[in-house]
Amino acid sequence: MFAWTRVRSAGLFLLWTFLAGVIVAAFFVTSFFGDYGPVRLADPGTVILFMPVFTAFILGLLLADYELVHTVVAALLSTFVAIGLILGFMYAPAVAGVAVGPPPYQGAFSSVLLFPLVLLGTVVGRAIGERILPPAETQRRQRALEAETREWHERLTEIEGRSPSEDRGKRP
Amino acid sequence: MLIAIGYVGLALVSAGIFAATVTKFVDYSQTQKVFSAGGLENATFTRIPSGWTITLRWRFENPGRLPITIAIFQFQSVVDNRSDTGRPWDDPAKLATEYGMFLSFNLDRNTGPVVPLGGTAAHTWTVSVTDPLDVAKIAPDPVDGKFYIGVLGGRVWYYVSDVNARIPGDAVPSYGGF
Repeated sequence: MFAWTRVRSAGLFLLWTFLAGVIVAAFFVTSFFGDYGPVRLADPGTVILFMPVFTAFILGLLLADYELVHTVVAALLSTFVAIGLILGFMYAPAVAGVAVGPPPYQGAFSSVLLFPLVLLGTVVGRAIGERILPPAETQRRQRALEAETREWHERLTEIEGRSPSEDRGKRP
Repeated sequence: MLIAIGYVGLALVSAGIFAATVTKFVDYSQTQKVFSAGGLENATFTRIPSGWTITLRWRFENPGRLPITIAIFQFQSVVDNRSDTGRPWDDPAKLATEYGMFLSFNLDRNTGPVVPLGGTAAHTWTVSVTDPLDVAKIAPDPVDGKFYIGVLGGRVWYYVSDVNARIPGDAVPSYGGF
């Protein structure tokens, strides 16, 4: 049961991370190489800046159950996935055997600059996620703490409710 | 849960956009790779009182996977009167004695002929030859009665689909009777 939970947790972590890479890469390629995309974006620059932050923010919300270091790892992995897909796009004609020249660089290696945006979005998303969607473990701890506090409060009330003579009589 | 569903939905849409972009880029490259300017499809020589009216029809081909638009095309051709079959048709000394034509059109990506994917498109030129010196150079082959035309080469500039890049290409030399 414990192993299954860990496998499920790791699987979800990798899935959310991979999907973030796909989203970021798709919008980056569509914006950067607008001529080939199915949609023409009015302001590619805004999309290139906004989508990584937005996607990573959602990723952070989904990773609220994980440690902060995992969130940073997710940001790094999703950036690698995105860069891999962008390179895959650039070299697709060569892979398909129909290349007529060198890949269209056009400064596409600036995609490494996606990392700070993804990291920012992920960390902020996780922080907010922890507030509005606290992880199950945190919720369990909070409930336990509340129950313990309530119990102490009841005991104190009970002690304060006794008469002072009653307490004096009990003294040795 | 709702966030996760929305996130997966966005990822699916993104994957579709990415796949379409890669496909178009590969097709764009493939269309350039297999590009052919086509060739002279037909030539008609009509005798008029003052000389000849020559009508040439060029057929553009597109074996690629995306449509192309021919923006600019120019080619040089020569009418071989077959008076000297001992020398090759493109012999420079022989070419100097024959009637040559430099034909072209200069359009743009919105007005040029569009060649559909896997299809062809034609463009026709009509030339009137009235100068007696030029008229005297034009004659059919005395044996089969055909007019022989050699294309010395040409240059074409075209667009692939709606991609904003003008690509140069070459028309290869050819020779034939019509």
